[in-house]
Amino acid sequence: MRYSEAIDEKEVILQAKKDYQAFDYIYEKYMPQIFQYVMYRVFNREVAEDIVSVVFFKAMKNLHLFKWRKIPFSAWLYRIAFNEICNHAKKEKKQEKIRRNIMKEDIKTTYEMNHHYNEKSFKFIHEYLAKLSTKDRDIITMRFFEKKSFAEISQITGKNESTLRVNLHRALKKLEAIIPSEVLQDAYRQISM
Amino acid sequence: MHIDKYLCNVEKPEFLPGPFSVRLKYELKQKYFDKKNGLSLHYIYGTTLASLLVICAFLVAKPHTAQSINNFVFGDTKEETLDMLLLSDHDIDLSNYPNSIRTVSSENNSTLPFIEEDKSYLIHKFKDQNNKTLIYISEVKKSLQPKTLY
Repeated sequence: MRYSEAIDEKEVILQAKKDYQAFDYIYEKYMPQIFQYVMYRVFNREVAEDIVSVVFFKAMKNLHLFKWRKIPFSAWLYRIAFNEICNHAKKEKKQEKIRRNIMKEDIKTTYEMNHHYNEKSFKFIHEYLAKLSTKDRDIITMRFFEKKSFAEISQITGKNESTLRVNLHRALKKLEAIIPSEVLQDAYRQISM
Repeated sequence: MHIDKYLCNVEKPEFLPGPFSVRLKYELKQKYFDKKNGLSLHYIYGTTLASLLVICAFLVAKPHTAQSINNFVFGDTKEETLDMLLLSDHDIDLSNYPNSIRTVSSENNSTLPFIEEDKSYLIHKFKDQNNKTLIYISEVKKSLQPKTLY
C-alpha cells in the first residue's frame, strides 16, 4: 500500500508502528522539518543528528501513546524534539563556549551546501541568536525560521498564546540590544537592497 | 526597520539532513520492522520455553531419573531398595529368638544363622523437656566387634 497526501494522516500514524510504508511516509514528511528545527536550535550537525535520532526512536516507541485530540502529530514530534533540546541544553551548559566555536565550523559547511542565500544574513542570525537564552532562542526560531503560528508554538511548548507573545516581544528586545547598532543598520540595508 | 521585520525578510539557511536521514531510517527500520530480528528472538524464546516444558514433563513422568540426576549432581546418596524377606516363607523355629527388646551384651549377640548380616544400626532414643521422644537411627558402617575383656 502506498501512502499519499490524500490518505487520512490519522490512519497512517496508527499504521506506522506495524506498516513500514506508513512509517516511511511519516518519516519522509516530518524528519527534514524536525532536523531543520533542531539545527536552528543547536547550530551543530553532530548534536542535531543525535537529538533527531533520539526524537524518532522515542516517537516510534511511544507512538501508541499519541492520542488524536487537539495536538496534531507534527506538534507532538516538535514537542519531543523541544524536550530533547532542553535536556541536551541542561547537560551541555558547560560546553556552551565549545558549541559556539563548533557553530562557526558548521556555518562554513552549511554555507558550502547552500550557496544561494546571503552569507551576512546567515552569520547574523546564528552568531547573535547563540548569545540568547534557550527560551528566547526557542521562540524566535519557531516563530521566524519555522514560520509557526502562536497556536502551533503553544501546542509544542504547552504555554498559552498571550504568554508566548510577551516572551517573543522580550526576546526580540534582547536580540536587538545585543547587536551593535552599526551591524544592525548594515543588516537592515542588506535586506532593503 | 524593526528586528522582527528583519527576521521575517532575512534569507534562512536550509539545513538538509543528507545521508543521516538514510542512516537513521535504516536504524529505525532494523529496530521496528526487520522481521528477521523479531523472528529470531521469538524463535529463541519459544524454543527455550518448549525445551524447559519438555524437561519438566519428563522429570515429572520419570521421578527415578530425576532422583538419579539429583544424586549425580548433588552428592553420593545411594539409592537403596529394600527387598524384604518374609520369615514365614522359611521353616524357622523362632522360639529361641527374643521377641522383645532386651539389653544387648556381647554374650547374647545372636544372629540369624541362615542369612548374613548386612548392616548394623544404632538406635538412640532422646527425650526433650516436654517428654517428647525422638528416635535417631544411625548406620554403623562396620559390624560391631565384641570387645575383648581382660
